[in-house]
Amino acid sequence: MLSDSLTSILRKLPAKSVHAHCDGPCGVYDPASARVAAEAVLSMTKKLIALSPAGNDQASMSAYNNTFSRFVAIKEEESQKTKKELLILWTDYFKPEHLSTYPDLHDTFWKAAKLCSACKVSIDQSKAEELITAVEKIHSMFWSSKGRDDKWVTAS
Amino acid sequence: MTNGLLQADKNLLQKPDLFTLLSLLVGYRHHLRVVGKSMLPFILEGDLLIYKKINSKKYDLKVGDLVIASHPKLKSHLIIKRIYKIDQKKFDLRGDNPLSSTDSREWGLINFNLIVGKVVKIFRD
Repeated sequence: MLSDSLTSILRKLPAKSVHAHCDGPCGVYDPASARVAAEAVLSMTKKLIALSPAGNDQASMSAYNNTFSRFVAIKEEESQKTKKELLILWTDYFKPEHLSTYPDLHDTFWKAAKLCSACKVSIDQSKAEELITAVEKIHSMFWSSKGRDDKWVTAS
Repeated sequence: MTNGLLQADKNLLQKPDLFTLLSLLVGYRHHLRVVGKSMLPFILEGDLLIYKKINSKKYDLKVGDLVIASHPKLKSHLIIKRIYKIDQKKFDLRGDNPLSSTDSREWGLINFNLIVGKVVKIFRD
């Protein structure tokens, strides 16, 4: 009886919300995820360019092939992750009303997504650097849309 | 450790009691309603969390505790997370449901001054 009454009171008690955050409905977005992934793409691209076999013997070539494959796999994965994070910002966070402030919004995201693909299909440092620049531009658009001026800081 | 956490969690789930209600009324304890699913399977959307505010001079936070914190990017937002690691006065906060949680994996360690309180009871309809 008392327990039922207390339950009823607590159920009606006005309460502020505490957020168990997830990506999407909670409305919490941050271009940092795309930035970290894009940095990984650039890092792996540089490592691939610098990679060479220690010798021509079987063991050296096996080691080289193994490392090369791993680096490519990570570059592929991080490129895809960058694209996914950018698409979330583009399609979920940005709204039609942002177009008046950022008329090149669609073009910026479209080109950034294309760069993610370019980084997958080739080992091209200039493309990876272009991707970082594109993510930085999106970072600036994102935070200025929130009335903030968060500094662009990279991990590497 | 997992068994310990489960037991600690079980202790948090309680039936409403008069003492808690009075504690809320006099401001000794505080309450929040959960929105979101990052703490599944233990904390459900709609659960009422009872928490005590953290005293910066004397606090008893440990790994596994459920805490209320200010969102590091949106200060007005309060979040519920579990302490995954403690490094001096910095906290690695994680959601129990990693596939649906934005947490220290993205934000990095959370400063102590963002920790608002520790969950002491959970009421479920």
